Amino acid sequence: MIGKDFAAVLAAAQHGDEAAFATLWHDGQPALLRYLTVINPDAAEDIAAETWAQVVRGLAKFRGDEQNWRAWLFTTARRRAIDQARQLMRRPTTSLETQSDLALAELPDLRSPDAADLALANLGTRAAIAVVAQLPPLQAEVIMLRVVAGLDTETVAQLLGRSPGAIRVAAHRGLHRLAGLLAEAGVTR
Amino acid sequence: MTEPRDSDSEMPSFPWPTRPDARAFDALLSGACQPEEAPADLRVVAEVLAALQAPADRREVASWGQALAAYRAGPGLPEASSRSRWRRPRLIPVPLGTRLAAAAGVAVVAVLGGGVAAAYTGHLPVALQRVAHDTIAAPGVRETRAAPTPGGSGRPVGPQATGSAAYGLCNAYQHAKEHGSASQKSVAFRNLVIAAGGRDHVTAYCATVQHPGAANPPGHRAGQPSPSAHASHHKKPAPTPSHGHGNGNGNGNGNGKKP
Repeated sequence: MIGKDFAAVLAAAQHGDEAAFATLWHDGQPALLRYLTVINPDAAEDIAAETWAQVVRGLAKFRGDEQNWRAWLFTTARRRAIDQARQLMRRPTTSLETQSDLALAELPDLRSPDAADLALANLGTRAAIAVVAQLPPLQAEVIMLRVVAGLDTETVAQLLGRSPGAIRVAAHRGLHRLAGLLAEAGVTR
Repeated sequence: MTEPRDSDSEMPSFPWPTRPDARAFDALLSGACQPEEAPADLRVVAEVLAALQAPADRREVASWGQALAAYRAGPGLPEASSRSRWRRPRLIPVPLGTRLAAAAGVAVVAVLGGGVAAAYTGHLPVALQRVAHDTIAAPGVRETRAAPTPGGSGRPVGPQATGSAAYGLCNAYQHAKEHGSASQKSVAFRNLVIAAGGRDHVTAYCATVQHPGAANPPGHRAGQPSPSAHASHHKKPAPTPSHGHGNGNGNGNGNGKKP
C-alpha cells in the first residue's frame, strides 16, 4: 500500500509522471499477479499485462482513494480473467479446473511426504499461493482479495457481487480450512 | 469467478460472533494481527498469510518494461508535450545566453560525470548536442544525427593550418605553448605542426603567416603576434586609425570595411 502519498502519486501518474506510475505499478503488480495466479494460474501474467494496459487507458479519468484504486485494479483484472476463462471454456479439451490442476502440479505439493518436514520459515510466497489455491474457489479468491489486495469486506462483496456476510463467512471458512490443510501436510512452525 | 461451494443458502444463521476463531480470523484478514501475535492454533495460518504479502521477487516485476511501454502509449494521458519526461527538443530559436548556459551545463555534467556523462558517450539529445557543439565546440561532443560521410572516419579533422585559420592557430599555439596547455595536443594544433613540418618549425612557420585581414598593418609585422595581441588574442581588435574614417572627435566612426 502506498498510504498517505497515494493522492499525490496518482495525480502525478495521471499527468504523465513515469516515476509516479512506477510507484503505482510496483505497488500493485505483485498483489495482482498473486491474485491472478490463484484464480487463473495459466494466464496470470498475460491477464496482468492486459489489466495494466486497460488501467492505463482509463487512468486520467480515475477518481478515488487508494481503496477505490485497488478495487478498480482488481475488478479490471477479474473481468479480464473471466473473459479469458470463457474463451478457454469454449475449447472442448481444456477447462479451468484442468488448467488449475496442471499449474498447481508445478508448485510444491504440500501433501507430499517431503512436505511433512517443511518448516514455515521456509514457506515462500509461491508455496503459500499454492496452499491457498487448494481451497474452494470462492474461499481462495476472498482470502486473496482481503489479504493480498488489501480490500475490505464491503469492497470484496461489491467486487464479487455477494453480500458482505457471505464474504465474511467464505473468508472464515477459508482460513479454517487452510489451517486444516496445513495440519494435514504437517507444516509446522 | 467460479461457482462458490459455499453459497449464501449454506450460510448458517451467522454463528461467528459466538465462534472463538471469528475475531482472530478478522484480525488476520485485515492485517491487524502479526503471526507472532496470533493464537497458537492459528499461527501457521498467519505465517501463510504473511508469506502471501511478502515483497515482490524479481520475476513478479519482470514485466515492468511492458507496462511502461503501455503507459507511454496510453491515450488516456495528457499530451506528450506536457509530460514530465520525454519532452520534445525545443525547435524555436533560443537566446544566446540560454544556449551558453545550456552549454555550460553540458560541460559541467560532462566533467563531473567522470567520463560517463552523456556528452562524452554521444548520447545527448540532438538539440542539446547541437547547442554544445555550436557554442563550446567541445571535443568529443558529436551530433548523433550527423550521418558519417562515405569516406570519412568520423574523427575530427580540425581547421586547415595552411589556410585562413593559420594566423589564429599560430596565436593560440603560442599562447598555449607559453602557458603549457595540454590543448597543444588538439587536432588543430596537430594540423599546424604538420603544416609547419614539425613541432620545432612552428615558430618559423608562424612568422611567415600573415594576418588574414591586413597585408601589412603599420607597426605590426605580419604573422608576428604583438605582445598585446598575444595577451588578448581572444579580444576584438581595436579599430585601426589608418583604416577608419574617424572624424577626430573621438567617437571612432569606422566604416568597418576591410581592404
